[in-house]
Amino acid sequence: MPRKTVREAINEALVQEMGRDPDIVIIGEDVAGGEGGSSGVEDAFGGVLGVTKGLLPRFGRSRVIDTPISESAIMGMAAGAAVTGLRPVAELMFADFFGVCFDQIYNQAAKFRYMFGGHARTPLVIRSMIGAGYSAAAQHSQSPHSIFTHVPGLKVVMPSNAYDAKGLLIQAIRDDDPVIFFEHKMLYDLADEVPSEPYAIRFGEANFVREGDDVTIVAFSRMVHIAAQAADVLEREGISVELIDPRTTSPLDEESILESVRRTGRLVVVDEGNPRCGLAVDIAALVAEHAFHSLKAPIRTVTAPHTPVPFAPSLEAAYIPSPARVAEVVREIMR
Amino acid sequence: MQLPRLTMLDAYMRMQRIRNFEERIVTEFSSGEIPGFIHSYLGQEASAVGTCMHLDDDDYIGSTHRGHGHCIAKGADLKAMMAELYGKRDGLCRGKGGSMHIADLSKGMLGANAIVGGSPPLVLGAALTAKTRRNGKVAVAFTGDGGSNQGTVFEAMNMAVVLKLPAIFIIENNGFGEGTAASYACGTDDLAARAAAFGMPAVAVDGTDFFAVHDAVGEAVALARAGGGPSTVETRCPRFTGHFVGDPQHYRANGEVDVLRRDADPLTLIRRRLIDAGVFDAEQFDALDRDVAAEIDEAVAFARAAPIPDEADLLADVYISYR
Amino acid sequence: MTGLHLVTMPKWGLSMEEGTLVAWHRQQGETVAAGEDLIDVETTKITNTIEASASGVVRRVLVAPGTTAKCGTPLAVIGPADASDADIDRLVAERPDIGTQSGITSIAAAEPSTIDVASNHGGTTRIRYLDTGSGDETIVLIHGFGGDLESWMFNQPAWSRQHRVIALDLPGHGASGKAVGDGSASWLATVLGNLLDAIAPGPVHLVAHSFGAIVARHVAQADPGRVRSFTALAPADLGRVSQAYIEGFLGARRRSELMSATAMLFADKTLATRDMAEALLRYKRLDGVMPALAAIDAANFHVDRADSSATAWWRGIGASALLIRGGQDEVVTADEAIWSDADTAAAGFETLDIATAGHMPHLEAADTINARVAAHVGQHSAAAPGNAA
Repeated sequence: MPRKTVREAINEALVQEMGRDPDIVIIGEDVAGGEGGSSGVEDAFGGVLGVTKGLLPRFGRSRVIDTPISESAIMGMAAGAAVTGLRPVAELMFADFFGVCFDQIYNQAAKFRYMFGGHARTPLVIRSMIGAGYSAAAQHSQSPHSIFTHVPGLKVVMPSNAYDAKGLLIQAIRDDDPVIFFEHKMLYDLADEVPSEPYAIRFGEANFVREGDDVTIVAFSRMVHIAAQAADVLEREGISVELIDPRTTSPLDEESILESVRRTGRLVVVDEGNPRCGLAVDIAALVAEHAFHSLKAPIRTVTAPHTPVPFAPSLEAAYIPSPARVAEVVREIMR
Repeated sequence: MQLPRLTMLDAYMRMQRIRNFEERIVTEFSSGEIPGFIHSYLGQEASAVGTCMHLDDDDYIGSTHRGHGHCIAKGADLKAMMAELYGKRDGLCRGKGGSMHIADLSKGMLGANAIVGGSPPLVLGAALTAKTRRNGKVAVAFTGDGGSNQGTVFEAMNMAVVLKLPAIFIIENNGFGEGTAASYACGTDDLAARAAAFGMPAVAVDGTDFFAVHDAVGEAVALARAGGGPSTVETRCPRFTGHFVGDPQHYRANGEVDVLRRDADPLTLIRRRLIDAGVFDAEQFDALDRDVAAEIDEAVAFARAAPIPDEADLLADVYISYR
Repeated sequence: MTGLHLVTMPKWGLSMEEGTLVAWHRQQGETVAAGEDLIDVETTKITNTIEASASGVVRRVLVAPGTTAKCGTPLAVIGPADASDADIDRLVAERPDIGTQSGITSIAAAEPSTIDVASNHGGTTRIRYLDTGSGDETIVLIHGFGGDLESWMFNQPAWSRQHRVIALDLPGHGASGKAVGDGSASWLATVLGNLLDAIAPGPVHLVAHSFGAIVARHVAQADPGRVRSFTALAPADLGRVSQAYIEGFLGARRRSELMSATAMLFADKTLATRDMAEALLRYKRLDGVMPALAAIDAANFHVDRADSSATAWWRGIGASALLIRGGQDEVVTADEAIWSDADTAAAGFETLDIATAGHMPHLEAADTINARVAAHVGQHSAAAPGNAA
């Protein structure tokens, strides 16, 4: 089976879905790039990290729409187009930029169906980059997925690998509710076996990355790989790790997490988001409420600290949960 | 006034429905049966109707927190509207939207919007749908003098010009954003000029004059339908009431509203114009007014009698399907 | 020569890149006979046993249990007790191409092809197939419901040593097109016939499993002259298809649910690995697969009575047919109302019952099957006595 990077997998999903459904349009800043430039080069960017490269020559300006840098107008236009019949895939280049357009996402798109009494259908996808690791500092490195997960009416997807990225994006595009699709910028070059045919991965179905008996680790997006590295180390020490990647934070596959913790009796949640009111404590609370009597040790979380993302590489490395931190926390609750 | 007689009749009826609906709401609200709070459109009827007379059900409008007039002008059912305001299950939004989110997608009414400046970006999307489908439809964004100060409106205007979208911005300048005057909050008294600076045709008209609004918006709609891109019309139409029903309007001089009701009432203006032109006589108007009053009575009776939502409705329609 | 044999990590199936040694059946210095079990190897999909490629002493064990090695990696040297260590060192250092001396001939070099063939309603259907080996005889391998050409990964290499072997993905399966018409076996058989017209027009030996055997029968019924011999493993038309299996397979959304279904395929439940289930889940997610499988299920697996056309055909086929069944098959189970042992006895075809196997004898008892089918094909080849043209 062909190996493709996360970047290629996302691009392939967009190409295949746009080929299938003429109502799908791409909206964002520099999704093609080059419009109006003196070189006359079209598709000069193809997305700031090249994810949407090649869509413009294939589908044309009417379906690959470069916008001014106006995130509110982008998100609002995508939401309005969705509720009137198109299936837009809008790009919020960096998730950090939600601060300038969140109203259009969480007050408008997320609430249409409910506040209009079930009469609205808003098949909107917002693709956005998250994550630290590039020394892009405080305004280009955050992982604000918990904030989106908090909003009723939004679905939130966090793929950790190329196979999941393609299948989850196709599902997102076919989904009739607004979906936030978070791509971790450190994962774009990660390659994986990806079928050439289109396929959809249902939301709310966790992937058991590995199965084990002693401790359940729940992790999303890039943290799945951090946790897997920790699990490799722990395995050699005789600690058997079950690693669950729920793939979507909303809906969340609560059943798989609970079922696992009832078997292992221990839970560690690894999340790149900030700790307060975040995804890690949300999952900890879920287990505390529903599987408390199965627990053999306190629930632990490994998250970023309650700080902005720092610039200096040494500080950034300390900010991001590391395999060593994850392994140490697991050892503590195995004692 | 080269409009067909039936068109003028229709316009008058819509304006009178808005007038009756809103006045009745003021009365009924004080009875305590209508939950929440209400922003009244009284005094601005010509702006909504002068605009929406150009639109079909599959043209779109996005509205404001002061949205009943737009909803009625776009043809929404009065009974279902009233039931929505009463929070009843038979309301347009099954009692889950209320006055500030009242919507009728089947009529191209994309919703009142409780976020000032919230609608214009959304209306871009409706215009994008029309442009993508090349169906000649247009989308109209209503906002106010208050909304015109929001960055979302600037972004939407620029984007509409850049993408040459069939969008029309109606800035209803009613003189106040909540309790602060436009003369203070807007850095210019020429809001149309701001829009023009984005690179689109923009005019300001007397928003109490149905014919003035109708003419200006007619040009804008024709341009948009022909693929000529967006326009802006500023309609100056002072509101008769406070920001919300019950607002004591301490920020307004005594007698200001009385003068407006006497000299700048859109209903009085259109009626006088049509009588002077010999299109209708006073008796005919009185008969029409009685018909409208009866419609509103029926709507109120319907809303009162309608059932409240089921408890299960609390959890329904957050998602189409949550998986 | 030195009489030394190098055992290397085989390549079973298209996606296998490496295998993990689970256990040695012989230790260094012990004697082994050709064909005896030598090494258990686990791949991402399944665990299988490498047999000794020659008789002799296990002169050197090169890889310890628990080690993961790439396909082609030398694992052991078998040879005479008196061969010199220097010769053994030289052999290991040369690392000859895999496929010539390993326990199981590899099909590492073979890549599947695709071809567009006519389907029933004027359109075309894309078919993927894997064409290996060469020879006067052509064996065509047809997998069962939900399977693909990799179902034959333990068999195709063995048969390819003497024959041309074509394994294919049925419509709706593997990497073939997902349109299956009304889902009937005859629809699929028409496509299959068109495929054979294009790539193997002469008479062939059909080897088919489970639902694939129904499709194969339709091919044979449509054109008896095409079929030189017919081998059916656990044919779905001579028993009752387990609804629990079908529903479990179709309904499973999580890997653990699917493993409950795939465990029914094997007598040895450990063969139903999580990776096999993951691969099946990924297959089921492909566009068009679930509708295709549902159509095939509806058209084929809801019969309570014997299909008289099927039983009449089986009664008449005679000795060119070989029926292979696993004694612990939970998916296609015997039903007197459909086909009885007396029917088998009266019909006159060959039989092979493997008591220790489940529904997938070609995976669970690959070596026995490989030998028996090879013999059967040999008996019915053009060159066999009585068959000469």
